[in-house]
Amino acid sequence: MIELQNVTKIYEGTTKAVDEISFTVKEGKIFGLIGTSGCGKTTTLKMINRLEEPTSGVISIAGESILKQPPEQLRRNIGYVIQNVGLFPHYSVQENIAITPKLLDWKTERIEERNTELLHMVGLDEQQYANRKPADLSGGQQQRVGLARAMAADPPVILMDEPFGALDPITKERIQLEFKQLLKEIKKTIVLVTHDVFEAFDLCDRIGLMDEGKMQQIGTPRELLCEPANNFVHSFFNNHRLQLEMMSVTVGDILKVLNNESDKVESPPSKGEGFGDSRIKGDDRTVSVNDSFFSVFGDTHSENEKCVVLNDDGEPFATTTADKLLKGFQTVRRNLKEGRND
Amino acid sequence: MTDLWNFFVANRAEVLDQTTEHLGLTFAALAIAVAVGLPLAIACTRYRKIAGPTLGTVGVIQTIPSIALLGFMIPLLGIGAIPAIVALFLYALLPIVRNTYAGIDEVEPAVVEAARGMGMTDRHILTKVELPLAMPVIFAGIRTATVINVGVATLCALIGAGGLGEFIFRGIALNNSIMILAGALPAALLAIFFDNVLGLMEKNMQRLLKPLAWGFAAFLLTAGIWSAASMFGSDTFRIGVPPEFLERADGYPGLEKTYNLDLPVVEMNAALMYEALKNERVDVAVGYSTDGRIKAFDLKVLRDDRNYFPPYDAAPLVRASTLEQNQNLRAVLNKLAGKISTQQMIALNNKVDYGGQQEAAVAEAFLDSLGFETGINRNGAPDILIGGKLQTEQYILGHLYRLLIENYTALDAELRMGLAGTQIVFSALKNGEVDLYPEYTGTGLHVLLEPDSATVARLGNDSRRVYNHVKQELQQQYGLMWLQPIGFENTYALLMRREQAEELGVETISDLAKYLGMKNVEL
Repeated sequence: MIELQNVTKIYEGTTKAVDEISFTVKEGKIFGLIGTSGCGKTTTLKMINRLEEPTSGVISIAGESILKQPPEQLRRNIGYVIQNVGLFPHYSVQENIAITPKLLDWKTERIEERNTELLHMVGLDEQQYANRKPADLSGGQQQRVGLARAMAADPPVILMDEPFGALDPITKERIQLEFKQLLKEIKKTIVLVTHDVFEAFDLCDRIGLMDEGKMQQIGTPRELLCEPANNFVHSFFNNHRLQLEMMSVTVGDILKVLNNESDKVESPPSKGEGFGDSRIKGDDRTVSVNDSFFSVFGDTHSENEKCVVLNDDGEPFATTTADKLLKGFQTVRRNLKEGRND
Repeated sequence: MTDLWNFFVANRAEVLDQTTEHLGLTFAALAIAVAVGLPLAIACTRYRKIAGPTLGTVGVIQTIPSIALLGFMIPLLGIGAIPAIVALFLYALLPIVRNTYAGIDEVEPAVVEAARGMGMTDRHILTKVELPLAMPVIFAGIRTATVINVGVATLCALIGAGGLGEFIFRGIALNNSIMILAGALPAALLAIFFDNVLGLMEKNMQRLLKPLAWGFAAFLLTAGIWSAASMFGSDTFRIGVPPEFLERADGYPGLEKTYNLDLPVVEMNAALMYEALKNERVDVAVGYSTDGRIKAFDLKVLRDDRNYFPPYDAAPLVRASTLEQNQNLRAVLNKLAGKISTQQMIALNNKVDYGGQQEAAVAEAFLDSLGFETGINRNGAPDILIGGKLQTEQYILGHLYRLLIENYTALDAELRMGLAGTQIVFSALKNGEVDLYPEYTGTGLHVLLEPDSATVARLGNDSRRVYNHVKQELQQQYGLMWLQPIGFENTYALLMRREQAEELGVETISDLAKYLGMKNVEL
């Protein structure tokens, strides 16, 4: 969907801000660009909607070079969310959301319809908020409007530059959670720039880690963590290694290990054996195989707490306890380390 | 207070005229300043390199004292509405350019980035984001410019552009505070009015944005066009008159009556009159017969064939007490008696007005030529203060007396020149703020003494009789002494360009009146 080939940006009289970057983002996937400040990640992002022009290299979206249309035209089909939101202070919420549709000459009824839809999508009550000015909104609400505005014309691609950077930790966590849900539903191709590794691990399918304009490694969160391409990548995650590992290991990963060892989970599920919903009792937790260990562990109340694991289709799949999951995670971790030492 | 009210009632037509002129000047300049300033400021935000020099330049213009700026305009654009509007425009430029630049510059970068990221074009960003967001600041700039312009426009009367300054300068020249107030009060009220109205608009900017912007633009445009039309549309035969002359007993009203003159009056500073006549801003001007520029600009003095003007023999007017305290002083001041003929005075004035020489140097050279001592120049605490009006001639005379006093007595003399009217110098003399100044007998008679018409008729045009009368009366009434006349006469004179006067066959003031009568009948 989005493809960058050997993209370089040199500002006059300085070193290369972006140096021969190449990556591909598949349709419907979220690609994270992370790295220290000044590593060139924002510049890379801005070259995708031509807020910056590359010095050399080719960028294409859906197989077509982005140079084929005028930049304004291109940008109207790319959602853009930035850290400071950049809502127009003199426009109401709905006027802000209607900016791109108006640029695209949508009919009034269609714009209004879309407004209702989007406010609902980002969880803002239309009655209450549609006519408010940005100054009358909280930081979290502003960011919701910012996202609604970026999605207004239903662009296939959304670029996000530190979208949660200006929020306080509590609001940030809540909105991240909602966004994660939302992004899954809307199936957009997204490039997300962030300096927050947890955010990247939480939201992104694949991550590119940059330093001094150069791409250090591209891969899934787990690949970056466990198979670092060089010392920089390794040391970049050092401070948060444990938490990141917990985030990148899924319940499914742990179940595999547990099954390999003698400490099997109870009643490996298989359909037709009467392992129906009746087996889930009222106080049992249900977790998905795709949930990260971090999210399961973070919510655990006691070590003997019983967990019913659901598979991709939402069917119960296995039962286990928090205690066993923790043991399994330690094994996975050990295996990962050994694998690296090999 | 009632005096002021009566003045307004009596002069309501003139007050109204001046107010309209005042507003015309203010808003014509403001309209141009907005039309030029906005794009200039926008260009500055787009090309940062020109921002510094541009803001610096308009800033420096603002620091030029307004009177000086108006003065600079005269050689470039002459006098009248155009140079006044240009000067006001230059003053209005700074607040408008600076505020527009700052207003756009202060728009949050994130908002502009978001706008660009959403696919807005540069024009969209300017008209839908930057200008609306900067509008309160821009408007504050326009408001400041308006208030500045209303104030500075009072000075434009100095260069013959009219406005409420006419009353103020005439009032100053005549030492008439009611008249000063009659100009100052409406000017102040206008400034307060516009400040408040624009302030109110500024506060409700968000709500009023669109209708306001258009309304204001339309207002400025009509004001600009209207005032331009009313100022440049006329090609009538006009007379330039200095403020003091408009009100004097021997001044314009009497002249108008005596000769039955009928032509539009442009009030302007006496010093600018000759330039204005030369540059055809006016066709007749009231000047002084000894002014060097009459010859230099080839102007014709119309003969006063009905003997309207009294004799104006120049002589020093001195406080009696000063003469008593300094025994020798009278004799020293009389050394100049009968020494300067009218032709000589014209030549001396010409050296300063046209030859670019300093008054002091001209005075010293003249005394040298008569064989007087001029070697001593004292610079200590002054014993004698010599006053004078805002005329070249008065400066020269002042220096002549200073040199005589310092070289022939042990006293130290100093000048207090440039006082802006007869009444002001006269009251300074009465109050002992100056000890002497050169005055003209006709002025003494009509301005200082204000005699009844029987006395004026009895004295007639006789130099001797007028001199004796003012000498006696001023001594009795104010304790002031007229010393012996210097020899020359500096009368008021109606001037025309020689070429035009000859073309129209105008020799005397009666000829002028006759010509105007015919011209008016034709129209």
